[in-house]
Amino acid sequence: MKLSLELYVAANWAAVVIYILATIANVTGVLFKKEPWERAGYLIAGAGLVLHSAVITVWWVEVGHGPYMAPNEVLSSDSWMVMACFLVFLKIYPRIRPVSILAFPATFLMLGLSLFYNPGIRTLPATFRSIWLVIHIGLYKISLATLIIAFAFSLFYLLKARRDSGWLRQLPPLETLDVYGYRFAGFGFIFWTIGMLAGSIWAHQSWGRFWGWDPTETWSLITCLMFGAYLHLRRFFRLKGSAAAWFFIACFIISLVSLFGMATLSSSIHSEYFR
Amino acid sequence: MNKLKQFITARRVSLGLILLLAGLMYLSTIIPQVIDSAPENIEAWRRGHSGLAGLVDVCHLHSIYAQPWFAAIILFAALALGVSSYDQLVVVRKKVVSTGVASADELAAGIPEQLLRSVAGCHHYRFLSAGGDGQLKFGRCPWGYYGNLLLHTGLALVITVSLYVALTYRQGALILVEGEQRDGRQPWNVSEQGLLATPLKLPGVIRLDRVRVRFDDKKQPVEVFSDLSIGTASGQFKTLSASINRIQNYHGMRIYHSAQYGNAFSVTITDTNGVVHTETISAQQPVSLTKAGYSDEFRVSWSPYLLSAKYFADADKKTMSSANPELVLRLTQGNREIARTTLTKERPGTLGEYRVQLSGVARWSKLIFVENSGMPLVFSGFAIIMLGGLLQYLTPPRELIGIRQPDGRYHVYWKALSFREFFMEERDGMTAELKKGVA
Repeated sequence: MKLSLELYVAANWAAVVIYILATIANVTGVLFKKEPWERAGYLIAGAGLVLHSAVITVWWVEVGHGPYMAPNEVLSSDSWMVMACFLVFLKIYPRIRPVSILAFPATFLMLGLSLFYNPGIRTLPATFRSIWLVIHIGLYKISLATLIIAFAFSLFYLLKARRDSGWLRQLPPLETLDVYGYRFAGFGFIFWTIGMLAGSIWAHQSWGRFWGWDPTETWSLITCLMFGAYLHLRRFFRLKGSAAAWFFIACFIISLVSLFGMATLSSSIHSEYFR
Repeated sequence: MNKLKQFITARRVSLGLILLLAGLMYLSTIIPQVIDSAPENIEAWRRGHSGLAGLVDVCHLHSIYAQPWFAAIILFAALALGVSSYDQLVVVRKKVVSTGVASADELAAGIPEQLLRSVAGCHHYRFLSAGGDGQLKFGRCPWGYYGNLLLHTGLALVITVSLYVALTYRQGALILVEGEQRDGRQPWNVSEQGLLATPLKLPGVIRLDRVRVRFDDKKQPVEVFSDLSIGTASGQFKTLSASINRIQNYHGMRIYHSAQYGNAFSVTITDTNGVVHTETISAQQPVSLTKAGYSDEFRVSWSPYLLSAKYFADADKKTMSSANPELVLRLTQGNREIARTTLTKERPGTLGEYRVQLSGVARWSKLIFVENSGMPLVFSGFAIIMLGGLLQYLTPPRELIGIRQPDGRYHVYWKALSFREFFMEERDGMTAELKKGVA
């Protein structure tokens, strides 16, 4: 199947529109306790995900590499992963329902933003043709998705702790928000770490060195250490509540700097995909 | 000794170490490092931060990762993790058999043993241990007890062995043009080694016979092979083919094909006095027919300006493996272009006051020779970290404990070792079944 550039862009915009409709339905359902709306939101989001998956798959075949070689592909696959992870985790942990208030808009905003970048076909350097690269990138994307969920819980905690009224009353109790934020931060940390290790194996296979202290690598390790400090504080120093939520948000910002900031600001193998 | 151990494993020390390492790494991103910055960039930074330059020099902050004090911090971190792993092993062994109910929720009382066993089985709680006084302990995801232990053990192993690798590794890189030969007496194009290692030497003569590039139907390079002949002690030549992402082993060294390869152009330059100069210019393989591959800018003996080049794979823009590439030469001074010309094999040109001619094209590639030991242990450590992390965060253990009463029935308690809130439904389900069973 051939996918022209125009059709690719149009299909992506269609996915954006579907995700927006899903957001309206779902967020209305969650905030105003209207279950049919909420369920409709999930169904529409599922339909958007099917279309989005098809576009990514056909484009993958078309360009000959996964969605990680251009800002357009990176943001599109990140948004896909956020929605996919949210729906999977929702099946396992139904209490994460209110996270859709943040995860759904994050999905359509990232996908929409991706379409403002030139969606041209990029070539894949020969060193990038390694299964470890796919694992490396895939795990970072899962990590980002789980960190966004943890970020939502931290943000909800801070808002609800300040004023428990209006729509905030629909959220789970503070203790639940706190523990869920903690566990999803743990998921994010472990996927981040494994992603980093997979990258290290790829680097060893391609260049004979498993660590090179390039700016993105260094920031990735800083992020890992900061999440390590967060988890350490929570486990051994009983850090919780607002302090934990603020600390996590700081770590989350650092993770965004590692993923997007360094790719834009620095020059290294890791910035190739954001040129 | 105990005080030292307490200090090494103190939670505050661990936290301090994590933050110290994160801080040092942050410093390395704002102070240019010798390892990844050009000397002129370091100089420019020093001029802009003259007040800090003295402190940076005293602490050697331009090469943080090569400092003995950094290695000492890493070693201390590995030691702390190792000792803490041992402590955790002791704790885990106790946890597995412990029937303490201090922080547990009481689910039900007066439960017969058979009902307790049946409810435990229905909820995938496996029998773990029986106390001497008739206590029963069941567990779900009992392997989760080992998560933190494995995570810390893996970290300790990776850090220790990585430090060993960093101190003892040796590597050198050769940039060779087809037909070119090197031996152990000639220097590497680039080489480096750990603090405790001597420079790597080539074990014999090595010759690059041919570079082969395979393109896909989109005209993108898919695979690159460098066919090598390596001289043995008996005077024979052994051939092997190095390729990107396919490591070759030779005499304890691993040979990597780098992503740097392309065409090497022989160019003859004739100046106004009629003196002929020859240059070999290696430029990176272009990624497509319409995009150029570039060389570095370099000084030449025959001109006060810098020379650089770019080339297109095919002057006719038809095939990526053309025998007639198009070469563009440039003379520059700072950011100013002094002269430019385009050459093909049949078409000579004029570069400023020089007449230039493309006299030959061959392929070149960069090969990296690495000698180190310990990598299997590093990767084993990676596997242990991954396993530990997944067990720790994906499978937190839960316990169902029955305390036998004088009437032979049980008080039943439940606890989750972490993330208790996630398992409330599981707990409530068991409570309901236990109470229903008694009723």
